[in-house]
Amino acid sequence: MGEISASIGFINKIVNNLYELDNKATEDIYTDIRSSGVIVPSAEGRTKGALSIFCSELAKMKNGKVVIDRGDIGFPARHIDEAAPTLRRRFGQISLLILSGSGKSLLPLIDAQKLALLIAKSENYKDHKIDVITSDPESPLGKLGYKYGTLMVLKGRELSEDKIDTVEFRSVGILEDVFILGGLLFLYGLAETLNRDAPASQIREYIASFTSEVTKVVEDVVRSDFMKTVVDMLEKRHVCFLAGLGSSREVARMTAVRLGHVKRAIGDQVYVAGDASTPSPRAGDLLLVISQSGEIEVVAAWCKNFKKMGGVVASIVGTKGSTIEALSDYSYYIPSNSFDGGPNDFYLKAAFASSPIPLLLVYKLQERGLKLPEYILRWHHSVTS
Amino acid sequence: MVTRSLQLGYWAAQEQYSPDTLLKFAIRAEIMGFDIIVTSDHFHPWSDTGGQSGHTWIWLASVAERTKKVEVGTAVTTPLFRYHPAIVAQAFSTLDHLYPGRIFLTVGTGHAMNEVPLGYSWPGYREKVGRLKEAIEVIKLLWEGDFVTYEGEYYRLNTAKLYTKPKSKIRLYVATSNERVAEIAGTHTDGILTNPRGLENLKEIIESMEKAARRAGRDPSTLSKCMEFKVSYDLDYQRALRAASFWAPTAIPREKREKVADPRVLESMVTEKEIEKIKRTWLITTDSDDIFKALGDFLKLGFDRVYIHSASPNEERFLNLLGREILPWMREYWEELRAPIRSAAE
Repeated sequence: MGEISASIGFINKIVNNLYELDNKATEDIYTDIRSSGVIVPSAEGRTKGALSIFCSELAKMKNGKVVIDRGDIGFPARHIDEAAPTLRRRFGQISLLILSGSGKSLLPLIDAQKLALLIAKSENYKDHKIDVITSDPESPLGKLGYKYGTLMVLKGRELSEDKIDTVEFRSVGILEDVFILGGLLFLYGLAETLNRDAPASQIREYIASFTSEVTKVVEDVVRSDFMKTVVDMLEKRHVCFLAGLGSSREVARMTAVRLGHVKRAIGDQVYVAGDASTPSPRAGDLLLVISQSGEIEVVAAWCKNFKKMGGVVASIVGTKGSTIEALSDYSYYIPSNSFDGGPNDFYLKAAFASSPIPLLLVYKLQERGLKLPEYILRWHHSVTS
Repeated sequence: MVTRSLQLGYWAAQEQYSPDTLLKFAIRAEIMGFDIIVTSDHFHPWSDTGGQSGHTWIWLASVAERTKKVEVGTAVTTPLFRYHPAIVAQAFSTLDHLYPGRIFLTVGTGHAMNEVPLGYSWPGYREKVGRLKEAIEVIKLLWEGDFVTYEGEYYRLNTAKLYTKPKSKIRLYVATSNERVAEIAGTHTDGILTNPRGLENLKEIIESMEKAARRAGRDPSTLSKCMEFKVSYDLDYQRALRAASFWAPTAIPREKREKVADPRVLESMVTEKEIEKIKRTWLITTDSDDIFKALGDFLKLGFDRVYIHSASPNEERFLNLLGREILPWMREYWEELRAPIRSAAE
């Protein structure tokens, strides 16, 4: 791995952070996931989006895993410690998989503490694992992972010591980009290794392969007319809507949170289509759609309605000539692969492809002389997650 | 100059809870992110009603076995009468042998309630401090030496040898709220423990400890400053206050309670004044922000080991609150104090 992308420097940071991953921790987390009968993912905010994308692919894979989210209707109790005996009986070893940059996210912390108490009480370390990926090994979640499962330190959520200017933004990312996208890239490498039933030592190779592909996607998308048009539109005083279903919806959410911070700084709003609080669009508003198949009926219907009301539709699609691509005013195609029932890399590529949007918007606003709030400039991550 | 990391401790009150309940709290405390489990060392509790008093050293072994990484130790063991200092040295050496690097000992001059019931008479201040100094010397000689002969005013060792030595250096602290004992701490030990009552003359205590350390050729920055932080938290203020009132006998002026050994008598001596004092010296609160602010003030004063002594009506709920809403941010705050993000002028 190493220096790959010149135009968006934070991609280099992600690559370097992945290069620094501890081999032993990587192998341990792989062994835990591989030997577990059920995976319970736990994360908050945008990090949850990245984890959900991975878990969704993991569940769909040919050599997949049973994934049960704490919020699923079928989750057999209110809390993980109450659900653990049932899950163990049904599926065997339980892996609580946590992705948290700060290591302090509240919901994962509650899950981890409850499962840790159960392990401490039963002294059954074998059937329960708490696997934590975090930037801070000294955080509460880091410590619990170290003691009750595996702790993997992935850099990317550090506080900036220096005064950051907008230009430097491009090298540091925005709101935890470096950690979340790095985590997603690692998890894709893990999923591919699992699907091919390869040894843990192969994870790095698959990460490297995914890395070169996503880097190419980012390089291409930032230079594309599509990106220029989208950023030009975002600069205008219109509301932006993001849409998608399933894993695409997670990508849309991840983008919406970051874009929302910047748009709100200039007085506009960003919404995710289909949420309870999402208003109707008005003429001139932008709908950014993410879809792998480009054929999801509901999303296509949203596009039609949006256009009827005078909105502009831009899409990132994984299928050429699809309905959604045809309905869009502007569209960007990302070629995607899935090897022998393995994880589909469209969502990984789409997450990376959409990550420069807020950065380029910030850059553009800075050119116009607008200074963003200090908290966005100073932190690489969301202050609330 | 040594840079210290913040160590947060859970105070397991032997006087209030039975050993099995306390063990559950201690296990939970480790999971919630505490670095230290510290426990009191009493023969009699402060209150007769609802009082408990398990043997601390036996409980410590159980906690060390059931936890994995936390430091465990006492605050405060009195090596003056019922415990001969050589036996204290032996007990803690054995603990460290079993759980190396995780054991610490805090010594102090103690209370009559723990010694008088066993037939000892309670001496004056001068003798207590003299005994404490000698006891520390005896303990350290046995931990570090071979056959030891010691001729003190109060203790004697006649070619005594501790055959089971500690595997690591056991950290030794002294509880004090006065300068004379702080001087002993600076000369012989790894730091002091004080409580909010010691804050009135904290500057003098610290100066005295540091001066003594320099005189003994030691680096004062290596010495720890430990604080016992007393708090009772509940959603209902009155319930939190009622729970903290269990500790009202501790608020009886020292000169009045100095020689009282019977918890029933101590309990009967509690008046409105003591309850008022509990309100002042304990943090009775319904808001976790208050706890954060109060702890933050201690960190600003330079305390690097803070033991949270809770009398909250629902201790498990309080431990959860600490683990999720207080401890992570205390560590962040500690980092910020050492390397401020913003300049002071802002």
